[in-house]
Amino acid sequence: MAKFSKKPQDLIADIDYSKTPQTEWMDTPVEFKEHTFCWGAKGKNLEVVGFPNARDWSPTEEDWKLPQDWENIVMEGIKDRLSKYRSFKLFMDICVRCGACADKCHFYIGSGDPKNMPVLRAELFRSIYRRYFTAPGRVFGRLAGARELTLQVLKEWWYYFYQCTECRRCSVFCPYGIDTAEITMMVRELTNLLGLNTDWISGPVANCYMKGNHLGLEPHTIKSSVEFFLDDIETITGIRIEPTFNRKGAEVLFVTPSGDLFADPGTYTAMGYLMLFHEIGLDYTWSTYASEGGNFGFFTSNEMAKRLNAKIYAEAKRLGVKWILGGECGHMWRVLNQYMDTWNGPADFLEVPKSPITGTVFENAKTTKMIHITEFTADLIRNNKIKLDPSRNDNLIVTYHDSCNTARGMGLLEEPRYIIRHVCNHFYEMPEDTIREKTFCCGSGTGLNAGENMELRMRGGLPRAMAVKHVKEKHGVNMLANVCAIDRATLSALMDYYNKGVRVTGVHEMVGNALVMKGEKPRETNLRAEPLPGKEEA
Amino acid sequence: MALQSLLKGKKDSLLKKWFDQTAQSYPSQTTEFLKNNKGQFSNPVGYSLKKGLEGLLDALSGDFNDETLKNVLDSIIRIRAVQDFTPSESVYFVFLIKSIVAQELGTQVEGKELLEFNNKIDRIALIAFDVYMQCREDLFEVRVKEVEKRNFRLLQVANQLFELRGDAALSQCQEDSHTEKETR
Repeated sequence: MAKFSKKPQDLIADIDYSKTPQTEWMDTPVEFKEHTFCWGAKGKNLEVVGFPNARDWSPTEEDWKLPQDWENIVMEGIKDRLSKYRSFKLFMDICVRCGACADKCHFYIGSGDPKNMPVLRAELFRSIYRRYFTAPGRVFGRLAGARELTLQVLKEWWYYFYQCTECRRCSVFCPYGIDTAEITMMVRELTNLLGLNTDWISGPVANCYMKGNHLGLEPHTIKSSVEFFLDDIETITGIRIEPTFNRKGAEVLFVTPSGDLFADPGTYTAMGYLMLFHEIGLDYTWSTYASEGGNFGFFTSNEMAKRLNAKIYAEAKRLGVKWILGGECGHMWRVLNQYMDTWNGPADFLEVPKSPITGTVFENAKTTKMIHITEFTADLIRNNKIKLDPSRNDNLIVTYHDSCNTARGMGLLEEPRYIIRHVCNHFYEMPEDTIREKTFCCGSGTGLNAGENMELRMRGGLPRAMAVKHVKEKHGVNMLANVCAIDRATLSALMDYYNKGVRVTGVHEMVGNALVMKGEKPRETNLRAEPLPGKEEA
Repeated sequence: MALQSLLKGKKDSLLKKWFDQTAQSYPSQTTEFLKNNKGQFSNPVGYSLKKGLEGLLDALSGDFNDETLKNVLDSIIRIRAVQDFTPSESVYFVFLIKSIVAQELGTQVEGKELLEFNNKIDRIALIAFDVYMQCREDLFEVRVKEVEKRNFRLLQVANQLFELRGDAALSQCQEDSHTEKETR
């Protein structure tokens, strides 16, 4: 029989609830805890795109199966990037550790782990930079904030730089404008040189490279998925839409994240696109090759992102379209707006986007030749080119989550709000410090939207969830709108955990509901097949 | 009741101590952040913790019912349940109030009242356990639900194929059975 050797009060006294490590941060090794990290990349997915050190590996194993000379590879990698990117070198040198960024990161706010403070996260890397690339660091070592590169340091990098969603909120508050996202990108590139990517990122990258989209959908699957939407739209509106695929000579190429084709509630947003384009008679085509707007390559290396992005201009050229229209997505737009032109441009075979319906020329996309669908739709509404019945969305009390990439990366702040105000009657903003340029991340961007790290995602998404909770309690908000495929998927999980009863929608799902189509039958249900307000069971 | 009015009278200092001690369950830099930043949205963890503990004190000195306790505890534990805490670390803050009350009120509370107070803390601790379990169950349910949503259309296609194949297999089966009967 078990014998209790201690009294209850002794047991309680033995438990140390303090989470402050006994050692300095430099000497505190990282501990991999379940539900906070993603699984390691599979060798086959690294191999297919020619990434180095392709093999199966697991972050929890002691042996990460690294190349023999991994330290040299990292050093050469740092050297190469410091000479290539002046911003990287600058960001290494100019931080004065003022701490303005410290409490701005959603992961720090939600987890309380100091290594998630952007300044300390960057310091995890900067300490190595100092040791090997600066004179004071070489001479004074630890006194100058420098430390040796060890396997522990590498593991720490991996753990914490895959806990940054590159949302760039911290950079909004940095007096020097240091973009921590770029530091994360560099460190992730370095880990990638050793084959240390995650399964959730490398799988979609391999799929995208082989099939054109993250899910690895082949042309017939894409088509059959869209046909499902068409059936549903016909049931709801009585109108049979017939979109085209890979059609040469169309005026516009439409590219959207593949998540919209399969994952709820993104699927309803895709239905909204189809209905809108049909209603205005847009001469456009889908592509089963450029079938992904998102770019998980962006979370591995600059070169990989460029390779995956190349298909968009290539397909536009092959089909002979005039310009490109892009669906609702977040990081897709950071890539398209800030990188595509210099990576794979100039797209001089395309024209500056001009709406065939309103005649508006989108000068803001003069070089990329690609515009965001909310810019396009807001322009339609402003010119009274579509008829909307916002009362069909009267059951929705809506708030809007700015996706980090569209808000901070391309300044897309007003267009989605303008549309929302026209397609529904109940719209309430979240508090000022949590929206627009200061928006809080969903906590699952940059390939962190896997399932195995759900606990981490709930930490990162906490600040956003608390802002939604506030408007839920104050205004009865029950729908969280956004323009990002990852948001649509991951905010649903976040709401299910923190704010039950708040659902998630893309802006164009609400457009599809409100859109009064020529020749439509009286609508009974919304795109989710739920009765419209006033049409509930008598 | 005397204890209730004592708790009401000392509410501010009790709350401050309870909050400060609970905040010490985080690394020291974070403890300072939780204590000093008063923003509802810039420091949602600290804000929720303070509101939650205040709610518990209000319950202890007034309307003590399970439903209120559950909601208040949920606002604290839902956050701690996904942070870097073991189950016991997530809920141990409940017990801290025992020694804080002992320090603050000293001999003013004793006998039956003290017993009653301790019973109430035990009740809170039990509900805290339920709430913690509910949060963890929610977390895993969310994960399963996400997988379903992620693959909704694929499942739809697969189900349709399954139904088609199912029907075909069924009619083949009926046909076989018919032939078999005839043969007999």
